[in-house]
Amino acid sequence: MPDRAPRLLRSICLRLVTIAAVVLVAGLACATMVRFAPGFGVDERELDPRLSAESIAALRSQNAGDGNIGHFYWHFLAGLLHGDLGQARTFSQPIAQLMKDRAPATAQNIGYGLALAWSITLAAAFAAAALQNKAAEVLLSAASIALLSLPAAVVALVAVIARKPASIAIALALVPVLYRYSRNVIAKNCAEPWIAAARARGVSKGRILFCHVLPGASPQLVALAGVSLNMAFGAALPIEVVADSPGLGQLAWQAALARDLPLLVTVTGVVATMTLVANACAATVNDALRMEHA
Amino acid sequence: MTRLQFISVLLLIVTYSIALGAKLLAPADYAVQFRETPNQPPSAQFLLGTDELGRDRLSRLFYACQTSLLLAPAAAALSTLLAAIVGTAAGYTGGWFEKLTMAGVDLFLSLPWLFLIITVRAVLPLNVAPAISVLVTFAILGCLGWAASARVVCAGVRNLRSSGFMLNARALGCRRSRLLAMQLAPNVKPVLWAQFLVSIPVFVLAEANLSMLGLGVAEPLPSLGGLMRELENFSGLSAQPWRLAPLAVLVVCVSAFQVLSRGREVEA
Repeated sequence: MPDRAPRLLRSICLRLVTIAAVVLVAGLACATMVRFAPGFGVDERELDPRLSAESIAALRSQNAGDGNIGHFYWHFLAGLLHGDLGQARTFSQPIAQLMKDRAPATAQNIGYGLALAWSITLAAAFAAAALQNKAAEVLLSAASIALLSLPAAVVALVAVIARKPASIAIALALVPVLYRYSRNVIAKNCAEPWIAAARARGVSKGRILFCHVLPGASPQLVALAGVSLNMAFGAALPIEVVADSPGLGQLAWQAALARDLPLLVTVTGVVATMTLVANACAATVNDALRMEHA
Repeated sequence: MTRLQFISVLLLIVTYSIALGAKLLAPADYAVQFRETPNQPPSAQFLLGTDELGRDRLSRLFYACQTSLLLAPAAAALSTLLAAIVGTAAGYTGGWFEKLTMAGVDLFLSLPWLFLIITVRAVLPLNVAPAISVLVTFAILGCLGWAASARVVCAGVRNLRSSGFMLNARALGCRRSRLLAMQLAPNVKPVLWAQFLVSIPVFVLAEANLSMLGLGVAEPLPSLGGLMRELENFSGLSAQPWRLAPLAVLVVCVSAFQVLSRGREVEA
């Protein structure tokens, strides 16, 4: 179709605008949460008996600027536009620097974890579809239910005891969820009449799976791939804490325990933006696939 | 009902009976410390031994079942109620309202759930009374876990809206409130029931993760996740396998819920 490219471009632009609007609104919501959280604007140093009355007054006047909501929002957004994410109280460091230091560990954990999880999931889902064996199906479902019943933190403990990296734990936490959806999607596609027709014509199992089932299942699998980044971040939080992997999940946990809300909401906001971008990418690929088939 | 579902129901009946009767069945109160016998192995007096503060592990496990397994369904009920309200309003109204609501739901779903939970949890004071910490934890889970269910409810209501019996009832002049209460609600019930069952294991696991991270139920009140914090000291685990009891109970209960919810999902 000749108008495919402009339509795709329009859908990409629309998604980018939506993400920008969501980030803006979420940023303001985060700032509001920080502003109205109990203890906002109170500096722990005010409790230090060694400080003089003048020093305490200076500390209070320093925090007074943040007390004005308009001033607070303006500073928050202006800083956001300049890449200044504020200062982490717990670590006495700029949040941007902390995130820059921690992001590689999370990227590695999640990257390897997702690659491994998807490899296992697709292999198991296609094997189950190809074998059509009741015993194999029951075995895979039982393994999936058993893994689904374990908290991610316990999966991480098992990985730590087995001296395996955090990425293995992330993969193990994701596989049962991904397998459950992938298996359903593939089974649904296997039941389509054209698959029965291909089987009746003697087309080989491999050809049916890769040339007929996979293209039919790809839109849902692509959507699941987008969502899987969200799941991976969710699993990474407890896993990084238990496995002592210095990533964003561990940083968010440390911030939560210390009630360092500016750091916590910024980490959450950045992670949410990444998952929104991943979902938008998946949706764009799906749009392209749909236009290709139209 | 399949044999596996029957076994799951039996297991849940046993666990819930223990949870409900924790006060009668537990040999001691969950907070009582037997200070002369800390870290004891299982014995006739302490069937699962004692923890490092000398508290009876079996009693704490019974009370933990009460906390986790009774409040997770309460949180699931809250999230299903929210999902029913949002999903029914969007699915029944249709048009731009449905599109806007579902766009909001999709955005909510794309947010990292656990990050969101710990953010909301951290906004609230951490040093609260144990009973309040339990309520706060499960209320947060209930309030943040509605989005996926709302999407399913909306799709179900949308299908029902244009079904023959609804059109018939509308043509006969049935009032909107009666239409919702007498025609729609009974038909949406299986979907809501399935979503309720799906949410329970999710909330049990979320509580376990939160408590293992120290952001869930506060000590001395026990929860399954809180009891599993002991596992973080895994050095003597092979010599003290009874420390795995809370994990075993959690896995059995969550697996039973998974089996039942899958069956319900297929039926719905």
